[in-house]
Amino acid sequence: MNNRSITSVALALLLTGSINSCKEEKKEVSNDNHGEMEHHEGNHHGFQSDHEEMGKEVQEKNHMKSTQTEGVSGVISTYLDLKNALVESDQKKAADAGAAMVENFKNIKVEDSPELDEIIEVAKEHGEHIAKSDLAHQREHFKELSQDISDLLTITGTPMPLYQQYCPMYNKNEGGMWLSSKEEIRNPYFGDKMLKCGKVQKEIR
Amino acid sequence: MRLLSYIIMIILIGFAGIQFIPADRNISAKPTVDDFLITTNPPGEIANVITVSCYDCHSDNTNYPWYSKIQPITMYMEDHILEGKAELNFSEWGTYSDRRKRAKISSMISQVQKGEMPLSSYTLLHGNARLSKKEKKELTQFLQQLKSKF
Repeated sequence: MNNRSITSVALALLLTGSINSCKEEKKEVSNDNHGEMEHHEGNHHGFQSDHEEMGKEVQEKNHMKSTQTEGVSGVISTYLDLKNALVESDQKKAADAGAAMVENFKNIKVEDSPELDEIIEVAKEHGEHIAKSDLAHQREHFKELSQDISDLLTITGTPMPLYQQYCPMYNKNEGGMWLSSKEEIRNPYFGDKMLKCGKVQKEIR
Repeated sequence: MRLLSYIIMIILIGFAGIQFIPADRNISAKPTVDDFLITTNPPGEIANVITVSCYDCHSDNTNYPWYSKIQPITMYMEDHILEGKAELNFSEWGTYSDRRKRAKISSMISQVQKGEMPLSSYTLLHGNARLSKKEKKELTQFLQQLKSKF
C-alpha cells in the first residue's frame, strides 16, 4: 500500500509536468484550426450539434464517399483495435490487429496518388513489424504508424470522427500521438502505468 | 561399433553432398547512385562503421568470409541476407520515399541504441562489427541529424 501511494504521488507530479507542456501545445493547435476547436468544445457530445455540422460537411463527405474510403474504414477499425490492445498492454491482441490491418490496407484502392501509395507502403511495413514484435517494439512502430494514418486521413477523409491525442512523455519525452474514437484519454504508450496521461490535440472529422 | 561407423559414413556423405547445392552470392557490380553512403555522405569514420557493421546484410554487397562457402553455412547466410535486405537495403536507399526513409532511420536509431543491431549472432564471428559506445553515439547522432532532413 505504501509503495502504491508513493507511486501515485510520483504520478501526480509527472502528470502536472505533462499538463503544463500540454497547455502550450494546445494553444498552437487552436491557432492552426482558426478557433474551430472552441466552437466544438463544450457541445460536441450532443447528437444535435453533430447534426448541425452536417450541412457544412456535406460537400466534404460526398467527396469522401469513394472506393478509397470504403477501404479506409477497415484500416481505421483495425488501427483502433491495435490502439486498444496497446492500452491493455496485450501483445498478442496487438500483433493480431497489426496483421489484420496489413490485410485491410490491401482493400484501399489508390487512384493516382503517389503520396497515398507511399503512406500505405510504409504503414503496412509498420503493421508487419507490429505483428511479430514485443510490446516495446510494437509501440515504437505504433507511434510512426499513427502519424501515417493521420496523414492518410487528410488525403482520403475520415470515415468516422476521430480524436487526435498526444502524450508528451513517450520515449523519454519525445512524445507520441495516437488516434482514438473516444474523447476520453486511454494512453496506448504506457498502458496502465499512465493510462490517462495525454490530451486531445484536435478532432478529425 | 559397426553401426556407429555406418552413421558417421552417412553424415559425411550427406555433408559432402550438400556442398553441391548452388547459392547466389550477394555481390553486385551495378552502379550505386542510390547507395546510402553516396546519397547521405556521412563523415569517413561513420561511413566506415556503417560499411563494416551493416553492409554485409543490408546492402547488395556482402564481404564474405572464407567459411561462407561451406554448406550449410552458405544457405544460412543467404537466408539471412535476403531477410536483412528486405527490411532495409542501403544500396537502394535513394529509391525510398521520404516517409520510408524517416521510418527506417527511426528503426535504425532504436535498434542501434538498444544493441539489437548488429545481431549478436553476427558479431560473434565478426568482432570488428561490434559497435563501441562511442561509435553508437556518433552513429545515432548522425542518424538523428539525417532524419530531420526528410
